[in-house]
Amino acid sequence: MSDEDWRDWQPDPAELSMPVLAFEADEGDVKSFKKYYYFNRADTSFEVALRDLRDCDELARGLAVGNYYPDAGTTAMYGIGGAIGGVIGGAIAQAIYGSAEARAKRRVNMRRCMHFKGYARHGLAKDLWQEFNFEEGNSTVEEEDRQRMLAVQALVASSDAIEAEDIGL
Amino acid sequence: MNRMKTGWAFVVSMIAACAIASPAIADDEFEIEFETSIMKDKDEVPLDPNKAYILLQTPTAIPATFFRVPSDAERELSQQARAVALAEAKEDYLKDLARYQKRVESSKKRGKKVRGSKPIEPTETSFGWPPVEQSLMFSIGPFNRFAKSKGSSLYLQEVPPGEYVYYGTTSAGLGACACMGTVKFQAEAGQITMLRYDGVWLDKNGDPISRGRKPEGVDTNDALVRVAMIIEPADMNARDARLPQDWLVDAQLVPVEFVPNWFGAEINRLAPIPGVLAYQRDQVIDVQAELAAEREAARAAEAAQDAQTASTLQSAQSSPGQPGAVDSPGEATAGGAETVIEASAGDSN
Repeated sequence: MSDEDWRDWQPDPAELSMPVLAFEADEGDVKSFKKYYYFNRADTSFEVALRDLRDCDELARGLAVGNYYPDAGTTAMYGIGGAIGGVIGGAIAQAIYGSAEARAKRRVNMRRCMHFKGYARHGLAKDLWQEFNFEEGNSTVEEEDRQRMLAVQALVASSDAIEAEDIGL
Repeated sequence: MNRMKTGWAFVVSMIAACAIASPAIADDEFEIEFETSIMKDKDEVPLDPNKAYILLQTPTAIPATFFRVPSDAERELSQQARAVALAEAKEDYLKDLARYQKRVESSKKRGKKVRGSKPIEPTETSFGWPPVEQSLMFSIGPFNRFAKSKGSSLYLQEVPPGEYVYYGTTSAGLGACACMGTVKFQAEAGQITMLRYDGVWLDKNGDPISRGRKPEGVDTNDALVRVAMIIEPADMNARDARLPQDWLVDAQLVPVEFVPNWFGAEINRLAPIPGVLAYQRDQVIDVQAELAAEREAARAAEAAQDAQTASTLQSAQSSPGQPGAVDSPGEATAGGAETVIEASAGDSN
């Protein structure tokens, strides 16, 4: 299948395996929750969760331009109708000087985008996280691998009753 | 004044560094003229009544990126330029492919490895082309402040009149775009349109904490995720005495629900703006449009109610003795007629 086909792929959730999410968190795990986490939202179907994850993934990658040039005119195109240097400047400094900037940027983007969409975030141990997630630095992840992992993430995001603490944005 | 000009020449130099299937040249006939000028901190401020001005107030020296909304003609021009460049790229591809095939044959004969990789065919979907907005984009600050005082930096930019979108703070993929919720505003000729740019720290629920120092006890990485940009009305410090006060107007902000992350930057959105921009999850709400719709719905409901009342009274008038009609026919006629007139007046409002 082409990359575009993979981005439209509609997996059957019944054929996916729910990854292990239960673990005893130690101090090291908690410190790493900024990097290793999963999303979940109550009353959300698998299809909706997958669409939301793909939205955020494509926006984070800079691919989300699909509906930007509809046939309608300009109005439709753009939609409906002391230390602040620390806030904005700090975010820029991180982008420029931070280690593994691209990987950090993806984490920032997924956290923000999924938070905006109303998903809770729950911390996970690194080894469990690696089973169905990927880091994305300067080398890109193959589309098939990416979509297979996003599908499992969607299964998790749409699953019932997560008791773990919501660690938020 | 410092003049900045953007056009396809600039765009092409940017994309020349990009990978696969990018156009190599663009013709002058497709150039989009867009020029902005930094107004420097001088005693005399030469203003052109045919130009628009954006006066951006910030708490300190920080940059903000804007673009002018392209016209339909400019978007069409961009697509024409792309079509020409794609046709040229296809011609080049055929030549490159022929050369490559010769190398393959020659390598086979000599039993050697083929030099170079097989050229990739540019197609309608794969052929990269910069967005037209990129040639209508500019950043204000952090240098060349027009004025500065405690907690207030001013930047004054001369721009062509038009509709402008706050895009974020980005440069070559660094920084952040307000891709998931921003605003646009009209910059009219002969006016200085004022707005203020700031930022705010958020808590883990996404609620604002403060605009000051980074919150204590929060991991730095977490803190830098939990920020939002603010666009709001400028305060009184923006009314610099060197500027004609009757030119100064507040930007009339209108929500924009989405702009693409063209440069692969961080994605973010503006903090809600009272009376302008709100969110329901990731859905942008145009507060003024909602209020207008509510007013319209209330008007329609009131009109329907009036019509119902009029209809009831009319039928009572024509059928004395029916339930709801008054005892005296004479009174009913007078009272009913009066109410119908009132209802009609209400309808026409």
